Amino acid sequence: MSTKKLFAFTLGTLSAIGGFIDIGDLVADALVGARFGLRLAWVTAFAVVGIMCYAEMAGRVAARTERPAMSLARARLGPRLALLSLAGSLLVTALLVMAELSGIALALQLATSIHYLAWVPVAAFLVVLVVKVLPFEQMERLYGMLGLAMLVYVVAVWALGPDWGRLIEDARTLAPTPGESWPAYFFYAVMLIGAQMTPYEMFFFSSGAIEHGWSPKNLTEIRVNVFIGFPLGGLLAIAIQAAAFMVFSPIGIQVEHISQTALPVAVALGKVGLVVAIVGIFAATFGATLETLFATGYDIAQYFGWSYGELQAPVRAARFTTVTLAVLIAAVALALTGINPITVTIYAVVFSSMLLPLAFLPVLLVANDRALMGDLANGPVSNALGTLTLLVSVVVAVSAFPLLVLTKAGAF
Amino acid sequence: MTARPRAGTLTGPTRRGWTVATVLLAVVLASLWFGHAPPRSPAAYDREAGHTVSLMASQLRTGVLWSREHAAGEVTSAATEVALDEAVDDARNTLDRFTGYLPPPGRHFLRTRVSEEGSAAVEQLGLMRIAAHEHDWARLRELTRQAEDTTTALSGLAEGLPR
Repeated sequence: MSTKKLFAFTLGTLSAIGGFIDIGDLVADALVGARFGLRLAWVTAFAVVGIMCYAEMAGRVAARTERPAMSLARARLGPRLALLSLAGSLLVTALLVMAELSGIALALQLATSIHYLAWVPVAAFLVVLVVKVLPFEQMERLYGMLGLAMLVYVVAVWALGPDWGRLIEDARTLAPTPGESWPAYFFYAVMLIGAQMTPYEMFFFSSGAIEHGWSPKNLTEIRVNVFIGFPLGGLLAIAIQAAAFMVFSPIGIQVEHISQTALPVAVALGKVGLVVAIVGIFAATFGATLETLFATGYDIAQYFGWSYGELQAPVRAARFTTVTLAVLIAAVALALTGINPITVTIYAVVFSSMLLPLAFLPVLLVANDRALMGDLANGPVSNALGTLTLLVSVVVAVSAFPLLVLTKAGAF
Repeated sequence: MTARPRAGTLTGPTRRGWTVATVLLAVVLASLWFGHAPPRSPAAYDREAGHTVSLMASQLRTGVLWSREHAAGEVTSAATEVALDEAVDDARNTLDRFTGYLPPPGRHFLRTRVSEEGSAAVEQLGLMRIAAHEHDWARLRELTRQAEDTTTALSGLAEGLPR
């Protein structure tokens, strides 16, 4: 393998790790860790396998058919059901744009103590600037590389000197911690799935495959990125849960802010750790802002058959550019109302979990179409994992709203 | 990417479709109302009180932990100021939400108790926030020690209430 190719693989994998963690993950992992320790780590393990399975499938389908996920959804689900999927996905992803943008602003606030609302327009300007100046690939890799600062959470877990036996025992216990209810336990399981298997990740991955011009020749690159990047992202998620558990659980602290997610790192590694964690949070939310923003443009453009793409000049994809800009402006306006971005994140990831079956089903159907996919059609392992993930996603989608109401968004 | 042909065409929703959508919307709105409805029964009020007190204890402990880490030189002053701002706002909002509920008969004493302990916590965090913004770190250390007593009082109250 040439050095250039190896470098491309490494960067792609780094992007996948950085791209896995966004504001939803940060909030959900720290919240869950503080309240349930590692008792929901099995959900993260499942979510990683599920998103790996569907990201690989979507990448393979895009490489073979040169058609992205939302375009396939319309073809397979029919225009009406696909419109429902589009509307839901658009709403949830637009809310996430607002939350991610606020996440950038909150990271800057933590670094400077200037109120985050003052940083929101600056963050939006930075996003526009990066999109305008950097090519797609470099943009993806820049935030992927910076997002590696999040590995400080793994180091922090080590430095906190955990009782490994207790952590492992905790991870093996499939029950809520004493004092917590079963409905709350399941609500947070749904929330973790919503945060770690967001449909936008798959839509973005498949649209990115089209933007990169991937063909079946790039299958190894797709698989390396997915099979190494996502599990390492999952490891990061578990490290955030473990760090929050070790620092917050013994003294009864509940997580309500992004700032609290950085505190265990500071406790373990001091000021240097805190600064690295802030850089990581900035990079993770910045990358996720770009991904969610493009995902809204991709979704709507692919559904209606418009020209789209970050690689095109704005004038050649005018409607795509208008949609993404409009979403960004709406997100800034919503953030400036002062609405709590963490609350928005919690609701967005729970609603996102309700849309998973509509996102997964068309990809599974197309990946099984031998006439279309030929030798790249699903094998038995992909089918078994894909079907299991789809079935679980249906259970999650059906139970998400009742659990949200019953537990008052996880309060009880 | 170039435009692709669209699969199928959209037709307007049927009458049945509108009915299903209306029923679904009504269920969602009713559920959301249930989620935000104030506690009516004494048991629900007690549970809300327990939740409020444990949340406030958590907010106070968060402020104490940031201040202690700052005193140990482990966190930056900017981050400590931000964390204390957030803790004060959270504690005030949490207390305001609970005291905004009308107590059911026989639960006025509980409202008074939570209000007293909660106000002490908000005041304590407020003083810590001022000390941090004035960069009066000696005063912040002193207030952090006092806050630990307030946390103990809140925890004691939380233990006697359901969650």
